Parts: sequence; structure tokens; C-alpha cells
Amino acid sequence: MREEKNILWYLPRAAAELIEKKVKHSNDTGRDFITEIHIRMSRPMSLTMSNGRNVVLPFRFSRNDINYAISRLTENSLHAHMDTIKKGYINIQGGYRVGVCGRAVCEISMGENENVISNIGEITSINIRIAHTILGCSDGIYEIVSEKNFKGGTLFYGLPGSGKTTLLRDIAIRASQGNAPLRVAIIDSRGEFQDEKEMTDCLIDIFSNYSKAIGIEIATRTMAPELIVCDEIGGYDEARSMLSAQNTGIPLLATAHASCLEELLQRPNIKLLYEHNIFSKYIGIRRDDSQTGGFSFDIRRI
Amino acid sequence: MYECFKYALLVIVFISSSMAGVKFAANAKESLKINEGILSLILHIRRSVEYYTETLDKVYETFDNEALEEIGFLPSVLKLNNDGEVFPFCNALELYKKRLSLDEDVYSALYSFGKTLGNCCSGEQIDSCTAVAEFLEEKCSCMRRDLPKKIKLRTTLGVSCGMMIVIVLI
Repeated sequence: MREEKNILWYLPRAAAELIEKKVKHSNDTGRDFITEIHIRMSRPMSLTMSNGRNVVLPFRFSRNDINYAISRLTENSLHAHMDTIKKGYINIQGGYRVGVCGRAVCEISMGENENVISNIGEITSINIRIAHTILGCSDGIYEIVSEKNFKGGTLFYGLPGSGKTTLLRDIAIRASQGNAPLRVAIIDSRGEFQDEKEMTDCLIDIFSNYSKAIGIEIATRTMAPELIVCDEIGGYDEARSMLSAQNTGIPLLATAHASCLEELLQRPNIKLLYEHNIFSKYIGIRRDDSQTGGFSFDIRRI
Repeated sequence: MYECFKYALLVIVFISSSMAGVKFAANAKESLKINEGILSLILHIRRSVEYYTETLDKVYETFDNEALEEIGFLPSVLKLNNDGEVFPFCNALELYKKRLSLDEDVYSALYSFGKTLGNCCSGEQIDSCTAVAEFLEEKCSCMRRDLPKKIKLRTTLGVSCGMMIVIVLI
């Protein structure tokens, strides 16, 4: 069985058994695996498979079931996870990312005219994204991305769940080991790149739980990386930090959500990076089992 | 021979009764120690949540208390927490109810506190720690004030009972 087995500990027994059955069935019948487990209060639980299909399971989480899962996911320490819960996620061991949403308690900060989430009153939905390290998944693209020691940087874009993080992880591992390894700094604001066994021989510095803007700035200033890897960019501060990092000549590998380049460039902060030529390549990715590595790419050089 | 046996028996009765008195006095001391141990655990939880935002497994791991460890309460809370029980503090209280020998009001205050533990945000957690700590502090100071009287009373009662039994038997 794959990593799904570990995640079942966090769920009520009845739900865990259903998922276990499904995992067993998938392992017996083919190569599809579970990428996400969606839990909703009083609504059906569903699984997202690696081929993008949603599988609805005959189990509805009650309020107690959700509380049980939250207690386990937060190690009985909700207070220790409040900051990330307000941002919509919980970090758990193994690099899984758990998205949460529910009833937010908002405050309007004076003078700034914007709502700030001060608390989450009740969590009603949970999405457990199962991190997969698929070694070799960058087979079809690594040579292109790593041309001239990654010079110019690359931005990967794709829909949520298309495998951007998995691909980025594999590229970071490949770049930081072998005959001519590079010093790689990973800015991991959501704890998705935890110390994995595949990284034991890699020259990787992980900035865990740093915000992307601060992480990029500190990495550039203190760790002398030869490559900076950063997942899911798009904020104003991140864009500013990347502009600063560009002046140091350190190439960047990053990801962003978008279905196509045109859509990507409609995002103002990404457009800013585009206009300043921060990335020399924009690569769209989507899952494609017929290709080497399991992805197909749409490469655009600038 | 019979006389010898009778006097030996009376001595045993007297010593046993006195020892029982001493034991009851020691129980009062032990009870105070346990209450103080729980109070310092709660203060430790409050500090860890307030300043370090630690998870509860780390909070329990970094806490030492002889009385709570001796009766097994502390290792049990840690184990139940690591096993993923939803209310590990409450479950440990139930398991060790007899050995903790807490007053009913202290037990129910701790049980309610246990229900909130790890299930609310830092602000609420700190408030609930403060409330139960104040209650326990009050309880402990009463126990501390009454302790010398209790020790004296229980020891004296044990010795007097022993003497009375001896006199009656003679």
C-alpha cells in the first residue's frame, strides 16, 4: 500500500475502513491512487483519484466525527495550529497538507478596511492532500528546466492537483544530488517538503513554515543557494521578494495555479514577474499517463 | 502462656491502630501533594500555550512531578494523548480517579477543564487554565492550612482508638 495507510489513523474507524477498502481495490486493479480525501460535515465523503476522478463514499461525517479528526490532526492541540487554521490549513507529519474551512469569525481592522479572520468557530470541511514523492516524474522535463544550471528560472503552472508540487520536489531532489549537485533552498511555507528519506543525500536547505517572501529573502542573504524552489506563488510580497532575488542572479523554480498561460498572466503579481523577466520559461503541466513521468508539458520560452 | 498471648495481641492491636492513624495522616499529605502536582501541571500547560504554543505531547513530556508520576497519572495522560484519544486528560482522570483521591468539586472542575484542553484557541485555553488554576490554588491553600490539624487529629485518633480497644479488652 502507498502513503494512504498512514493518513487513516487520523480518521474515525468506519471512514478509515472504507478508504482502506478503496486503496486495496485500486492497488489490485491498476495504477490510480488516491491524491485527496474530502470530508464534509453531513455530506458525503469523497476521494480524488490520480486520474482526477471523484469517488463518492457512503459515509457522512457527523459533528463528532469531524471533531475527532480535528483532534487527531492537531495532536489534541488546536491552539498550536490556530495560525495555520486561520490561513486554511493544518500541517501534519509526513508532509501531508490538510485544508480546512468552516465558519470564520472576522474582524474589520480599523483603517485598513479589510476583513481579518480572527478565529474559525467550527470546522465543517477537511481536505487531506496526500503528498506523493514520485521519483523520476520529472524525466520528460528536467533537461529543459536545468539548461545552463537552471539559468533564468522556471514557473510551472497547472490546475490544483495537477502534480506541480510533486514535480517540483523531484526536480529539487535531482538538482541537489549526483555528480554535480547544487545547493538548493526550498521555501516551504506549508510544511509540504519535510525531511523525506529521498532527501537524505541532497544538498537541500528547507525553510519550513517561513512565509515565501521572508524565506526567499533570508535564503538569498544567508544560505548562498544556487537554486531557490518555492511552491505556489502569487502574493504581492512574494513577487517583490522574487524581484529582489533576481538581482542576486539566483535562479528560481516556482509554481502557480492556472489552467493556461493567458489565465496565469491575468494575475497582477504574476504579470509583474513576467514583465520583469523573472522566469525565462513558463511550463504548463497536466497529468498524462501516456507520457514518461506521467505528465505532459506546454513549454513557453520568453 | 495464655496471658502472654493476650498481652502480645493487645500490643499488636494498639500498634495497628496507631499505625492506621499515622497512615491516614500521611494520606492527607499525599492528597495535598497530588493537588499541588496537578496545579503545577496546569500552570505548565498555561505557560507552554501562552509563550511557546507547544503541542500537548511536548507539554506533557517536558513536565516532571514526582507525585503524579508515582501514581502513573502523568505517563497515562501522555500515552493517551499520543494514542490519539480525543480527551486524554479526562480519560486519565477517570482511570486514576481512585488513586488521585480528589475531592468531588476538584474532580469535576478538572474534568470540565480536560474537555477544553487542546480543543480551543490559545486565548480560551489560557483563560480556562487560569480559571482552574485559581480554583486549585484556593483548594491547596485550604488544604495546606488544615494539614497540621488533620495530621494531629488523625494520629491522635489512631492512638486513642488503640488505647480504648486495649482498655476494653483488658
